[in-house]
Amino acid sequence: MNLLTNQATRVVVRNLVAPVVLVLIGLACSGDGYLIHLATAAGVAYILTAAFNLVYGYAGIFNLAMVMIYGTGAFTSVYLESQLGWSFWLALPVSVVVTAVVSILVALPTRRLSELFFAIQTLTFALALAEILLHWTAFSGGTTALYDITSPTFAGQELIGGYPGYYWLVAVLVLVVFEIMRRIHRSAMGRKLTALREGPRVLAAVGVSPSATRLVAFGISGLCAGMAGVLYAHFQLVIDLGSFSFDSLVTLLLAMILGGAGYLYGPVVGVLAVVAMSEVSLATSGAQDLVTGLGILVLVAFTRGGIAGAIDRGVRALVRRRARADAELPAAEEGAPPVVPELRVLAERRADAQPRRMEVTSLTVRFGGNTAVDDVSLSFATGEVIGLIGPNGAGKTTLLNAITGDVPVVAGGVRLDGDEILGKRPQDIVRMGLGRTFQSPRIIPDLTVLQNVMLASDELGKAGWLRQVLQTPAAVRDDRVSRSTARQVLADLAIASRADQLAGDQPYGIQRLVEIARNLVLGPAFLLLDEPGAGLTEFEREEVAATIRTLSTHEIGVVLVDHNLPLIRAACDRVYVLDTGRLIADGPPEAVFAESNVISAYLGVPG
Amino acid sequence: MSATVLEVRDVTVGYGKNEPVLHDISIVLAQGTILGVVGMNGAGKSTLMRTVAGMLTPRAGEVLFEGRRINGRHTAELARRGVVLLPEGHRVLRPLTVRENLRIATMSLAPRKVRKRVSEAEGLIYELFPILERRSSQLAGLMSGGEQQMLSIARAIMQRPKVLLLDEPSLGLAPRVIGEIYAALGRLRETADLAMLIVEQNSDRLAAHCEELVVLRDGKVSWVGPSRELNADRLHAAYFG
Amino acid sequence: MVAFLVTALSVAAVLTPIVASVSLVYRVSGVVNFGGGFIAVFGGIACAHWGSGWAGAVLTLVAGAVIGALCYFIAIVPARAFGVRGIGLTLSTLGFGLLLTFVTRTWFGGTAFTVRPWLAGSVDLAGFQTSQQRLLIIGLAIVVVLVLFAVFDWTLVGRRLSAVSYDAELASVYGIRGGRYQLLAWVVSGVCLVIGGMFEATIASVDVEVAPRLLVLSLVGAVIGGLTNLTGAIGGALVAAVATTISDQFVATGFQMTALLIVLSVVLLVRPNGLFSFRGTAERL
Repeated sequence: MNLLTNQATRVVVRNLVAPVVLVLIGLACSGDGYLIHLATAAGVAYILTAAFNLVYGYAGIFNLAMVMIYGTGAFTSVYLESQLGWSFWLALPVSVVVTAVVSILVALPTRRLSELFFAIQTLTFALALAEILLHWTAFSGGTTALYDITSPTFAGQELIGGYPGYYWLVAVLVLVVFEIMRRIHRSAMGRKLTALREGPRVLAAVGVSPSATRLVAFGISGLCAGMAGVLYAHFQLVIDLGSFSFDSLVTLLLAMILGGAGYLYGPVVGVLAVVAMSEVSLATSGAQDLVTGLGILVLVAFTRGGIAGAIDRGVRALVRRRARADAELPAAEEGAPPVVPELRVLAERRADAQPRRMEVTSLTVRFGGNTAVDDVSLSFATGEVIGLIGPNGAGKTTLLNAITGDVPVVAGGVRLDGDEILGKRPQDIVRMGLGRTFQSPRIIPDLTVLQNVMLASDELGKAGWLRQVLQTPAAVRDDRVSRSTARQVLADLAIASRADQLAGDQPYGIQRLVEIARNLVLGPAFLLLDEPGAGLTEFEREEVAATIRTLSTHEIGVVLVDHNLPLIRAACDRVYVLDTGRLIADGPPEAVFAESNVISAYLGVPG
Repeated sequence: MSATVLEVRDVTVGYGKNEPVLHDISIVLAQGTILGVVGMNGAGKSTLMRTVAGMLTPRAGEVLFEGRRINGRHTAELARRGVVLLPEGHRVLRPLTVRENLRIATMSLAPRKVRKRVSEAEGLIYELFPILERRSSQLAGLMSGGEQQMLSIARAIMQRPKVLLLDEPSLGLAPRVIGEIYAALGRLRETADLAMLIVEQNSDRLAAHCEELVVLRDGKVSWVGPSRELNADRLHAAYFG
Repeated sequence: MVAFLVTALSVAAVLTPIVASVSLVYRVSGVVNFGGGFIAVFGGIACAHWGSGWAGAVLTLVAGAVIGALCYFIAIVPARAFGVRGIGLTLSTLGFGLLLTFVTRTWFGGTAFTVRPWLAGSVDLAGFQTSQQRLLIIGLAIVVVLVLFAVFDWTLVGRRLSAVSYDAELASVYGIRGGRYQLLAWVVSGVCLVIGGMFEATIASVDVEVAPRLLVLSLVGAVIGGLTNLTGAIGGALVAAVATTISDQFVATGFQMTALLIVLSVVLLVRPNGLFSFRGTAERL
């Protein structure tokens, strides 16, 4: 009981920190015009930086158009008020929608670009937009500044930029944005965004559409950036295009990397630090470039994740030390029999599962003039473990890639229960029940082991992206279910003790299990494992073999690509042998390993 | 017994925080001999080559070349001292022509020295691989895999190696071409005073060409001995345990 | 038509060395230099300050070489030692650019500068009056391009530089010390950047505010060119110059960036690796 109230208190305290801090700042600064000005500016800067943090820090999209989207918000609201006579309270939401749309428009044509080309494209977009606005004088004032900005009124009170009334308006919106960011941080959406940072394939591997996730990031960040812009305009009461120039972009970048990209508190810390730094460089006027330049150089080289990152790492190290002192985990004994996992997560599907069948017919894959997979036909059913072996360059991984839609196929077909799956997107193939792992585990190093698995279990929930972002009761419920499912599967695979450690800190063996766990959550009919034994110790490999056998008793069909013949022999019912893209043998392992052409393909005959 | 030119002593190597790929490996390469290393994929063969060539630094143990410790030395430095690697997959500088590939492997910028080096080595190279002479102004990237492997060997000859490290020289090549490559390596060994360390997945060809064979399994030496003593049973045992 | 040609070519003359520099450094070091615009601006202003005679120009070139080397040692080497890659290194070069801007401002002040034309007077080309200086920088740009071609294509140093940029690990197997060639690339790149800046300063005025524009022009040119070789860089610079000049002369003045954005978007939609990246020639699977 005591524990429960403790926890409840902690939640209440956590929810109150931000509003209390904002109120205290407001009260403390109210008497001093300069301080209230500074506090308001910091609030606006926070909203902008938080928007950038969402798209760059979490999702890893280096969107350099951010500052112009912010500017668009400012100009749109002023235009709506001064030209169309709208009130602030109507102009604010409309402007915010406009900037969200602009942001999505930036996202749409740039889906396939590399990180670098994307950065250059968005930077060009920003400069071009600035140029267009410059010529639309009715909207932006052209080369002169816009002064015609009416302050919003609330309950008969005019909220004038630089006065406490306006600060309270900004404070409320800062709170809203912070709360949204906090919810995203904890939510399935936060995990998906972080996964996006490691490239689109991971999301596709758990059946999520990477492009839809990307659009959410752009939409929300555009929305927040626009809100910052509207607030900026009514705070300064005079705006010109110069306020949204390259220099502002540089400051934004500095705040981002200083605070720590991808951390909830990163923008808060970053903005505070930049405000402090600009106060310093104001004192030594003209040194702005020096301070910013040095700041960026030092931060990029010496810090990972800025100040927030350093704090986070410190806390983790502390927790780890305490955990280690608490309980020394007994290490698995070499020579002891391997732990045979009990897959409770799959328990219910054993009996009633319909048998399913994969049929690969005359599959051919070419790279340039080189035929990597040459007219290969094979088939397998649920409950079977088949091995795919062959010397280096035989085309094993390419065959897997062709089946899962990762490389284009020249000829042939891949049918799942008679339905052609070639040409479908990877995430759709996963959703049809065909999971896979990769040669080098595709895990998200910055998420914990548990969160990595939750990426998949989140997909079992019903709440859409909006509910996930807002953490509605339904989404919270989904989250709880997802968490317990993920914990369950980790426990099944005997790695629950690592659930809360970062996945990037885990050895290969664990990372592979995390990848398998992620697949199991989705209840696949088939699982394609690409070299699950590579880089493992002999003991760990025995565990992998045991795990694979267990999968097959749960009516999962496993395709195992590996070089380790003892592992293949221990795990497989049937083996296919590939050599230079062609199938040269198949059958039970013992029979295949005795065939002379297999031996000579693999080992050669000495003499 | 001829002098030892290269020695790998109790070397353990790994990537990042992961389990080591090679555990306590020791091998000795004598002057003028060929040592073959075979093993399955993932046994650690390429890791061994990359360690000797200076691309990886051992966690423990040492690599000695002519009696001096070379672990941690830069690859280019080692190449200049005579430890020359032919990486897996017949990698050559594809955007450069055959002649350019050879010329920049002379490791000198002085045109006269380069010319001298080239003319000294040219005879041997074109005798081993007449096709390279005909293709000398073709882009290396446009040649077949076998021709690229030949260029790779020619490039190594240009570097005046004392130890030649060949990482799976027959990978991805047709049997006839592999025959040519091995014939050339045999000739090279007669003409030039050098030692070779050759890694293959397949002991087929290699056994006939080397004095001694090492079988690697799971990053450990599972068999070592004169190549003629490696019969099918022993091989099977060494590979599969 | 003559007017268009002369203008477009003179814009290309400014851009070509800058784009070549961005693309060279990208190929050898794998970094897109976001400090490029700032270095070019430094070159223009320094040359204006140090006199428009040959001495001033030579001094500026030397300064360019030093800045290139400094950028490598300050922005790249330490960050790499701490394991920074990709966009992180690009940010680092931006930091260096800002640092350099501080130096530019402190030494020379923040106002706009012009370099007195090296050739005074103007000529009449089929009814179009243009300054001799414009023609001179077009000629000089061609000379720069020829020199670059000579160095990269015909000398051993150049071939080794290509070797390092193609595959640094393989180059080290050939006995080539990659670090030295990276430094060389940064030095050459610094020189090219200040050349571009000087050219710009002789036909227009240059101040520190121009840097982002030059930066974007050079990046877009480099991307259109495909970041693969010198020919691509020249092609990219020409396309960027023609696009901006067309928009200026035939559509409306002041929409250069918009024109660039349109060209860039079209190019990246059709060829996501750039217009002049001929994958087939040296690359074969």
